[in-house]
Amino acid sequence: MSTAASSSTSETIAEPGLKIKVSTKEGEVFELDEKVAKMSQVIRGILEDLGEQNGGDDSVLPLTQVETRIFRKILVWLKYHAGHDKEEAPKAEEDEIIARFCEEIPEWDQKFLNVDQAVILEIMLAADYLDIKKLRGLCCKTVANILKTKTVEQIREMYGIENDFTPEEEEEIRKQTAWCEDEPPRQGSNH
Amino acid sequence: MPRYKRKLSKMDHSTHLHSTGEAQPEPGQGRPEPSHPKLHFHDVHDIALDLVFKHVSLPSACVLRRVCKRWNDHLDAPFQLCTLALLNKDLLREDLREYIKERRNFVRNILYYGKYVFGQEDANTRLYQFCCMFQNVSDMQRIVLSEHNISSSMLRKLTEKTFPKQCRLFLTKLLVSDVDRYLIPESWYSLTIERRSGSTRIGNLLVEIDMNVNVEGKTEQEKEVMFGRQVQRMAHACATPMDEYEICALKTRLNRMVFVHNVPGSSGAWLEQVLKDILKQHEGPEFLFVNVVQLELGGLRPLTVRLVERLLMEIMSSGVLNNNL
Repeated sequence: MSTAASSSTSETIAEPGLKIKVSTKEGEVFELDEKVAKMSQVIRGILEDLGEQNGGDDSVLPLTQVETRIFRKILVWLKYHAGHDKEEAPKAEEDEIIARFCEEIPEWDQKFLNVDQAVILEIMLAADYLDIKKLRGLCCKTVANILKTKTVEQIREMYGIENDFTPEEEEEIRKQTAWCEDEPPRQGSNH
Repeated sequence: MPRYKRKLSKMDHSTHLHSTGEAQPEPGQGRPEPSHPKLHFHDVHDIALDLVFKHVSLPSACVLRRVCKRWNDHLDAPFQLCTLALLNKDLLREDLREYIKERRNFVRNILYYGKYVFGQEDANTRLYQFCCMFQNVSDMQRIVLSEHNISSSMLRKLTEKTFPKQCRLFLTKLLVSDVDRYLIPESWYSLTIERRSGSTRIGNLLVEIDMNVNVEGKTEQEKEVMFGRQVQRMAHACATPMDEYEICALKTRLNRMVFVHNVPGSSGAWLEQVLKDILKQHEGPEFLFVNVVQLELGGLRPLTVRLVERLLMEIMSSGVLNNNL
């Protein structure tokens, strides 16, 4: 088992119960409450694997794709939701579709994700890596909502994306999507 | 190699970060942080891009197609068209309907939300025509209708269309009007004038309606009965408890019936048993001990109320009640 903890700072979250140690890309070690840690399906899966193999208590799970600054943010989210969310049964696909398009982002999460878009993307990627579906979905929805309020030109400018269409291709797409030309950007809408 | 390392190493997103050298402000949760590599949207790998685009409705996706080739490829790909989300007003556009029609074979799920459009008679027709567009799409999985004000007759027409066997119809946050005829006989219409009478509001529940009920060999009347059972099931699942106004109106009506038919109003073990049986069948166990003869009906749902009324009427008109009391 990894001993990434030996060369790093250790941050302890004082909570009762079983503690799980994880280390970030930079090698910083975090000690999490089991309930918080298991909100990541990846960590949950690893712990179950280790359980089968009698893994030691000193194990540190290396999360090599997650930077410390992003993990700190994710930890805030995990701790809040571990304390506030009810245990939910996995959603049926139709429920998931409705949630994706019709449910508002809760106020606390809106504030949490009120950060630079680059940071939201990084949280989204980390949430995907750690398999925290709810957080990943919230990040996606937040970014999608931002995109929906912008024009094509604004998006290109915002993200430094080059218009790489040939004039013919651009014309073809414009024809196909002409019906949405007079659609104003949908400010603040989930739809 | 330990299993957890294998598991985590498989999950390398291979994102390409590049540094802008800018320090990023951290609103909300954060403290000032040192400069760090900034992730740009165009550097995000395909999986993440698709995850974001999965949260974009069709009209917005069409706008985003124009951003660049990469976005266009993602947004017009079959897997992205697999789930369509549309607002009622989107379908006012003939050209949008054509756009969807050309791509309908990729569609597996439709979420069609209406924002409770009132006063537009063609809204129901539009909904119906739109759903019917997909009836020959062999891999169609589900249609979800949300926030619509729909008539039960339109709903019935929809269930009689031939969708693929596996296709399921879900309703949520719907106001289904014109359900009375499935709850009580037509001759009772004049007696059901009360607030919200005849409508069933489906709240956050997700109700599944059987599709393809167009059974060959059945008469129109039999089909109507089959659909009526579905409406009753739906109404029962979604009905809210009665409010004081409704309770009072019901008490008055039942008392009047009893008076007109010269039935002693407060006695009759037989009557009590009959009503208890109705409660047992149509309400939860918590209502079993309600003293129905005393009309302690506070928790009854509107559907049960109508069943109680109908049964009383049938009993009275057949004279059974008088003979048994």
